[in-house]
Amino acid sequence: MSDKRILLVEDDPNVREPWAELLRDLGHTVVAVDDGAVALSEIPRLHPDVILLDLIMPKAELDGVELLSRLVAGPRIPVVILSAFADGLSDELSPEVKAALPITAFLTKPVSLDELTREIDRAPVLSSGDPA
Amino acid sequence: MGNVRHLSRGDDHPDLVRDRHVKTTSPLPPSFRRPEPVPDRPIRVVFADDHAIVLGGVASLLALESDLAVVATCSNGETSIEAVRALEVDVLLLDLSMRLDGLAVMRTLIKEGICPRVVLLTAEIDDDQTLEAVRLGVGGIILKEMAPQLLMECIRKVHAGQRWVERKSVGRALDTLLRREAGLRDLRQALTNRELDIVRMIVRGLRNAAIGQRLSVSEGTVKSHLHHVYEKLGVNGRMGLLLLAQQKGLK
Repeated sequence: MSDKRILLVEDDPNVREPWAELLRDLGHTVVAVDDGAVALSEIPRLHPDVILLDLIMPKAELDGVELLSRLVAGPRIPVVILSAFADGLSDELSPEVKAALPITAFLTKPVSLDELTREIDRAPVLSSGDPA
Repeated sequence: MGNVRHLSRGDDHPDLVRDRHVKTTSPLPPSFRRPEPVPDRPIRVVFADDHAIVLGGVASLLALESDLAVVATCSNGETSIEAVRALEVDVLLLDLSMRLDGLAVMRTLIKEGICPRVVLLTAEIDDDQTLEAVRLGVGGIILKEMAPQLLMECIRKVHAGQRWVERKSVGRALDTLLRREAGLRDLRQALTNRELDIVRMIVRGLRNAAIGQRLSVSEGTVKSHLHHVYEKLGVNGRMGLLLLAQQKGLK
């Protein structure tokens, strides 16, 4: 597995912190945040190869849905959706949305490390996510 | 972008910081944590509905279940907030369509950090309301037309940390939102801010004269802007613009 820069956006510390540790142990550089607003400020610093995004973060200033809508107009970075609602979500998204957002996977929580690492490996390298 | 609050706190946990890129945030304060289900204790439910017959009827049905305890019934959203503040509540069963509606109650309780697991009970709900409820962390959505036994089952599942929400409507609403954003992005690339404002007003059904009044310009100036918009977007007049806006999820 090649080392990737990963932005993990997850409001549950019981999920976020163990995942961040496990992914770092696998050699990735991980920035783990609990709010989409913080994630937005981290993107230009980290230039993530992939964003692991929890959609539902009720306490966040900017939740996962709002962050996703900001990413439509932002840099093209592969996004892996992590949500209790991920199942079947892909079927409901229109071709226009799929073209506008490089969502590479929808994973239904609870997610296994195997699933997660497989999708991180699969995420395509998009040039706009690279550091300037 | 809104105010960034976490990085300035300096709350990196020393055990988790392995390089300068790593930023972590402190665990949520205890008040944000939902109570874990307690085995062998009835599920403590607060129910709010502004229709007295529904309130009494559903409360009576819940009272028949040995594992459920209705600790308060509330005839409006405000008193349901007071009940959650005062009582230990496992599940808050909320009517969506009260004066202070179920979503507003959730927003208040989330702000106070005391929101228990929530089930919304409603006669009808549209996709946008469903997505909003999900974004607020709703556990379940139950339609009033459903069989009573499904309500009991929903409360038990939500109490156990599971979700009871129709996923298709969440997906549809998410798609509408993202399509609108993608459409706006495309239009932003092609149009000036003033032209974009005019397109938004056209989509809302305003006539040229009304648009001119709102922007403090003449009707002729609005027509001139519109002419440029049609040219830039390659549409054949107002109807073409409306069709394009619809395709892009703006209408």
